Amino acid sequence: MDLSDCIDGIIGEMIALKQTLRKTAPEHRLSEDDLKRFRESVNKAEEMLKSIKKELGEGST
Amino acid sequence: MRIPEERLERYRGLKREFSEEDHINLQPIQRGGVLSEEAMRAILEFGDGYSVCDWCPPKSARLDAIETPPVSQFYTDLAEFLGMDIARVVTRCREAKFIAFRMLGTPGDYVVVDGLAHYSSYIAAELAGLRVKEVPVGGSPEFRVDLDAYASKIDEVKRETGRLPAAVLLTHVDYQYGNVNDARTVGKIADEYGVPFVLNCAYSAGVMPVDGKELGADVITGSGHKSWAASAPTGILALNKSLEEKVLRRASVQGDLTKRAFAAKELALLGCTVMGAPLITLMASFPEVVRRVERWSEEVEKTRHLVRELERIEGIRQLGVKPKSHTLTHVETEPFFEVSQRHKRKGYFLYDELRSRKIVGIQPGLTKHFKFNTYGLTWEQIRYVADSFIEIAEKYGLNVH
Repeated sequence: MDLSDCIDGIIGEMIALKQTLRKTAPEHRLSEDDLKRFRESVNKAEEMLKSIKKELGEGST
Repeated sequence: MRIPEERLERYRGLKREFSEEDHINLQPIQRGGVLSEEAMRAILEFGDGYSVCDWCPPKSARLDAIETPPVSQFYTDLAEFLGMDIARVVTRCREAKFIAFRMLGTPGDYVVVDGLAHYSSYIAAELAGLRVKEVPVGGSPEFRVDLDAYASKIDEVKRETGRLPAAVLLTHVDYQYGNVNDARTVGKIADEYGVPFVLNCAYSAGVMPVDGKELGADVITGSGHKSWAASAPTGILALNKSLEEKVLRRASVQGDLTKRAFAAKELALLGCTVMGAPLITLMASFPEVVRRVERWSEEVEKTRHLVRELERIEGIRQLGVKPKSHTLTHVETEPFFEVSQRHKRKGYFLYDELRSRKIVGIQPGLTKHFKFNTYGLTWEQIRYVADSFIEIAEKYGLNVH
């Protein structure tokens, strides 16, 4: 994935999470499905952040 | 003129005063316009000025002819979804009403409207040079529009002017009480007299099923930012084929020197209409809108539940037709007004109490009566709102049954 794909991908994952927050406001009692989705989105975003860092010549720290 | 940097700072990092992610928003006109996930993504992709126009066809340079993104297909699908033949996206519902009035009437004509019509219906008529004849509304607590009176009002116009009104307009769901009017009754009357029937669906199309053919509508107007999970400003103008030539007449003007003419352009639309974020969010949310209208009965059930809970507080009653058949609700809340009279924050106490529970959208300062809308809230959120009102009532010693 190139830089812009990674950035779009991260934003897309965060938008999905925003929608979950909207549906669970204000208490945010997340169901098992919500938690699963949260973890998946965060993991995907993390991978894309790593790709960006790699692209920029930085380590994954 | 150069604007000082410190003033320009005000435009950085624009944020709302509360976030939809952390609050329940009951604002009566905002629920149906909350963006879908796809729309949020699309707005980033197509937020730039003319970005939907990348592939505007050079030979028929018109917004409704663009195939990538699928604007042309969307217009077709939009019309079909509403049970109409043709659809156009305009800036607002009021603009759609103005276009219909302007193209169907001639100055001095009448338009017959329900007495609960939105102010913009009156202004649209005035700008189109039309006069307004109102259909009466019954009294409290139901405030029903006397739909059968459309016939006598049309007769009245005919007696007064010697001709029929340019159109009749019915507000499908009124903005005050959220009453759903039986549009078929007016559609039938309009058809019998041969008068075009404009159905204002600002609060209905996009959240609940609307079939123009079934309702007998000749024109449907709608609001994208009110009921279609779209950004503002978006309006919808949908019509039957029989009115196409009148309402979407092509421009005939010609330059006297250059002889330039613009015969492809639809006159009343002033050529291309809504582009960018409003149009693209309307399109991106469309699949969700098509699916969500099928869940309308559950949305109404949630509203009824909340009304039942609120009416457990002695003295609170829902205004408008009961039981609710729409999610926009008006309640009379005299007991909260009485509390406000002895509270140091006066009318703002209720807003403060709700706000502290992360509930927003009830107009600050109102306690005697107020409106709210529950559209799209989950059952858990509905129960949270109900519990919060009961908790506030008990805190101030009101009787809860």
